[in-house]
Amino acid sequence: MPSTSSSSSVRRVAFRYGLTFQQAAMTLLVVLVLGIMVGAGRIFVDWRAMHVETRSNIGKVLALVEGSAAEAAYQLHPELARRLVDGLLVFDPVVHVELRTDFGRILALRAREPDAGSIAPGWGWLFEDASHYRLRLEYGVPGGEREDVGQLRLDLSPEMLARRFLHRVARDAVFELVRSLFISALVVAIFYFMITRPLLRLGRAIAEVDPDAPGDWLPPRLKGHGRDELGLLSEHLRRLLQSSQRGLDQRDLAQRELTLLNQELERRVEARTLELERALGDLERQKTEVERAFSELDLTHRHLALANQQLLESHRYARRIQTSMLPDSAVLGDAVHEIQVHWEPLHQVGGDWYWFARRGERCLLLLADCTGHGVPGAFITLVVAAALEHLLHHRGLAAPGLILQALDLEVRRRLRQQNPGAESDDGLDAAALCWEAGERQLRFASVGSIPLLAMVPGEPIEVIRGARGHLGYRSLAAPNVIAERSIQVGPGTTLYLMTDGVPDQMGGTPRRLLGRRKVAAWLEAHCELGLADQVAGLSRMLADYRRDEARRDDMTLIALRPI
Amino acid sequence: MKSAVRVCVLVLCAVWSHVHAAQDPQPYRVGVEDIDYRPYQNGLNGGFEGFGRELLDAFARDRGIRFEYRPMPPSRLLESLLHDRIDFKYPDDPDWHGALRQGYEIHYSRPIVGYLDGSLVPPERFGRPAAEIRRLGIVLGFTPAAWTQPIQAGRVALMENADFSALFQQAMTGRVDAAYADVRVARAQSQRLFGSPDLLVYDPGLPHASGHYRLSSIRHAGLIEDFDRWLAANAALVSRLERQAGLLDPPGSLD
Repeated sequence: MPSTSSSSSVRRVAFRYGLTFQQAAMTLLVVLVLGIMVGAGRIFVDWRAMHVETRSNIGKVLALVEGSAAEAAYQLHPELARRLVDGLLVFDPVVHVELRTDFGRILALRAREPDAGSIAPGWGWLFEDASHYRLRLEYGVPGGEREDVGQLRLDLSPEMLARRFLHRVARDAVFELVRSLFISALVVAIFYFMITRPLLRLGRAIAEVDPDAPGDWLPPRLKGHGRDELGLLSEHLRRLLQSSQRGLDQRDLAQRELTLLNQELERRVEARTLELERALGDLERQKTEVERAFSELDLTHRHLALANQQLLESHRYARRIQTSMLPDSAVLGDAVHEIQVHWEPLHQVGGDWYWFARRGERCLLLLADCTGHGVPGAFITLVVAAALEHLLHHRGLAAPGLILQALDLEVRRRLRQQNPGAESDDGLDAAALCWEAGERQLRFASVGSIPLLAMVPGEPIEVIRGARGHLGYRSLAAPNVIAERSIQVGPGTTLYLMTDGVPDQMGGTPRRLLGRRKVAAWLEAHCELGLADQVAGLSRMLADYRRDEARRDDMTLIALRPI
Repeated sequence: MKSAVRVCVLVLCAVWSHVHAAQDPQPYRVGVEDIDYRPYQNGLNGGFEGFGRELLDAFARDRGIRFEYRPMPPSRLLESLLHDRIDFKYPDDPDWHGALRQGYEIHYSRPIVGYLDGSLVPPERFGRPAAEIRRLGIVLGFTPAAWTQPIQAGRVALMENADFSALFQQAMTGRVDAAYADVRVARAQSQRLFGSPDLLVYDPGLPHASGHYRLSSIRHAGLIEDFDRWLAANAALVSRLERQAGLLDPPGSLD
């Protein structure tokens, strides 16, 4: 760092910019302004005081001569009046005196023009209101009354009063100016010797401070200022420079330490950079591997999607097959007045299956809920369909209980469930309804969870449950006897058969199963509807009850009005 | 009931005041001199007595009128008459302050009583020529009619005094060379003030003036004429009053 010589940094301050000159100018300005303001106020006060004084003095004079003037006016004494008027003219400002009687006669009058040198032309307005006096003269006549006997008029020269006043003002102004100059000079001298000169010495000494070694600076000797603020300033400055020196030393030390620290940090950064480059290489490799894994996953997804599509197509085809296996209600012909079927498997295909058959006048309606749902359930329905086809065509069974009992055996046989080691342990719940066309009596049998709901208009719905147990199943024993129930129907009687998928709807608030009782109540409440509307309305009610809940099972509802 | 009583009292008071006013007509204001001017009259201290009072009161009684006397300095009497502050002036003489009377129509009664205004000097100065008189003393308000010309010519200085006492003191101490006053009055005042009627003596060789006192008015010319008739009709009464006041004696004598 280049050093600057102290002599080159010192420059002299022009006198007009110096503190001494500025102090003198400002002090003079302040004193003059204050003097003018105070002087203006004093002039005003003096002016008012002179008004008061003039009025007071003239009042006293008039009070003094009032008795004589009244006597002269009362006696109509011109000589006395003349003497009185002449006496009043001894006062210089008095320019007009007049004593007038109450008869209007002027007893005495004296007027004079003031000397031109004793007036201030144009300034008379200052005392115009204090220049004219009128004294009403009263005289005590015998009897105690006071009688108005005349008037004494006295006029002063306002210009003469103004000149006296202005003379006083001018004198005060001169004194004020001299005093202001003296005070200014005194203040400047005191400030110079007490403040400015020590400050200049201190300033010159500061200019000699070596910027590279401020701690070597020695303060100037300020004689007589060892204990005042200047001495304190010098001492503080010395301490400041010493502190600055310490700061410079600490800065140099810190700079060296900082350089070492920077070097250490650069080494660490290089090492860390190498580590990061290695880590980045690893990450690049991992990224490549992840991308390859994702490619394989995409390929797998495409394979799965293809498989799923094939499966769905398979299911749709299976549904077409299962649907084509379901009978048309028209086979019953005039054996029923009205019949509606709602068949809705959980998936494309399901384990619910029903069958209508009519041979001559004998009619059969069978509803089965086979084990499982989806494809396994559909396969069971194929077994059940084949078994029922065999029983109806080769054995000619017409009683529902016998049909169900024979169906149990045929299913067991076809699934080889008589063998304890058989793999299949599947079965079904089933209900069968048989009647003669045109007859009012029907025979009903059921095993498992499929009841018959009979609803006569105007009466509570009747639930006819089947026998306990199931049909099929390797692990269960075959039912010994399946009871039948004879049902008498009349016009308008509606019969309902439904698998447990219909009442087993999860939903509502609080969340619970719908239950067969609520389904029966809904049917009672809508008994006046046609069967198609009932089935469609019940389907909407179930959907509203479920809301966002998924169905849990296949569901089938068959409604018929035999007569 | 109370209100009715109050109304009756007020009505009675009004009637009484009206009747009383009718019986007591507005008095005439008569300006008189507030100085002791005996034997003619005495107007000191707000009163008025003497010959003038007795004469005017007799006339008023005869005519059923009332005079209210207002004593004032002699100098104010004429101004008061001219400015209508009094109805009558007594005494008066057309020769007094003639300049002031210019422009006014003043009605004077016939002469009532004669007077003699003369120059009075200490006995040792009796018989001196008038040219030695430089300073003439007079009671304030009076007109030295006989000395008018020398005064106006500046040969004589007029020194006014508040009353006879001051005038006599001035004359006896030589501050004035002569005192100018009514001779009868001066003797009477000298007797009363100093115990001798002749401290100052009347010098007939010096300027003097004589005349008659009259009653004057501006507004009441008819009453002045009536007063003249009354004077003629009551000459005996007037003479008796003059005699009682000592006004029939020669001016230089003292009873």
